[in-house]
Amino acid sequence: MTLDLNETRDAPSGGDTARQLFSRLSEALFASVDTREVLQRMAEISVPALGDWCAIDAVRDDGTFARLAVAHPDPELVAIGHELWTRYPPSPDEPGGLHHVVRTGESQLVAHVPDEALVAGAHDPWHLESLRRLGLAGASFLMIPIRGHAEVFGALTLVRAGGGRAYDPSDLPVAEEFGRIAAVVIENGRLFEQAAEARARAEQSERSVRELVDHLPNLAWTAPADGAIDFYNRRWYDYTGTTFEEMQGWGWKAVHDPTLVDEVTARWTASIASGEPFEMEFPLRGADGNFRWFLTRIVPQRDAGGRIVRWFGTNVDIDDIRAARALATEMSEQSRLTAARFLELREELREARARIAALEAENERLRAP
Amino acid sequence: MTDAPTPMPDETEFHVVAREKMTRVLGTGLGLRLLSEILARQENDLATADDLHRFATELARRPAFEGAVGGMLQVTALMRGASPGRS
Repeated sequence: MTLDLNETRDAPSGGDTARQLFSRLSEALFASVDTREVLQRMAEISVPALGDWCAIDAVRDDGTFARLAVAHPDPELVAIGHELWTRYPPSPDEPGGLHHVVRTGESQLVAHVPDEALVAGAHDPWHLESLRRLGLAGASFLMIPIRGHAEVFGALTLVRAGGGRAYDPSDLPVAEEFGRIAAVVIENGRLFEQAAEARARAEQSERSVRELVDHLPNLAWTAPADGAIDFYNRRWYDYTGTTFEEMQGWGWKAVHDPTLVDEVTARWTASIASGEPFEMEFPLRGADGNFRWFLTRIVPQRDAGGRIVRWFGTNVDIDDIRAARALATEMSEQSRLTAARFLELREELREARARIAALEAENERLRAP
Repeated sequence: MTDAPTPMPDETEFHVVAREKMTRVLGTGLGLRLLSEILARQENDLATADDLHRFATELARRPAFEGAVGGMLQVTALMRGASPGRS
């Protein structure tokens, strides 16, 4: 398999040069975001240029192995290999093999596997027969660790079937380069999965927040940093009798008191620019056409860098409170006026009684003989 | 949402009193609408204290804040000379 990266003519076997091989590999890397698809394509590209068999296996948290990819020109042999893998998975007790490579992080080269070794290691006649059918008697192995930044993910296995040219140390560089590329694929795949999981968690979190907001008894809504509202809770629509299409962005102006909407807009715009919370009392028109007063509070949500990512607003119905407050003021004033009038009337009554008494006294005097 | 306490054209002093109290407590929209509805139904031009008392008595039968304002206006009408027997 000695492939010189600077070789420009075909290798003696008639297959790809190393440069062609890595060119095809590059295309495979960008053909899909699915890790297994890319690794399978890598395995297929390496056959037969790098060997008759190529397998890529990853170690799980429990120490067992998952076969991520396997390639061989004969699908029937691939099926037999899969059956072997399922029935007789790699054992940590084996002197070499996957466990050893992952544990040590070192490549393993086996120049020749004698048939006697297969006989000694086979579990049953079917096992032995299958190993021979796969061409492993007299085969040569290369097992390369797939190493990430902090750990060994698994191993890349290349097999040249019995009868072919055996691997030697000069074959290691290209095979190890394949192993490094496989590590990048796996690592990127994990990062992609983590990002997808984080995105899913964030979306779930947002759904939870929206569901909570939707059930608040107050009117509530949220907006991105630019203040164009993109979510109203159910209570908002119940009260205003509007639809999202009517209210989205800055459509809320339509349910505001025309005499105050400009002031509300100016103060909200100022909050968006300054990042300061907003608080104001103003009326909103209900579905019945009547206005009720609301206390509106809007607060920003910031990211770790302090940038506003969202605004959260609530409108609390204070119409009855305002009416009660006004009524109390009116009644207080009326009580004062009533008390003052009572005093006036009492004085008038006293004066009237005094005049009556004086008239009676005069009447008595006139009657006296 | 509340109007300034100045008489509108053709408003009597009793109309001014009623309008002020209605709009201060109930808001301009509801206050003015209720005032117009009741006066129209009663064919009442609020020319006298008795007219004010008649208006206030109907308002006082309504629930919550509307009834409370009606009660206040009844007292106001009495203080300004209304005689309940005549209204």
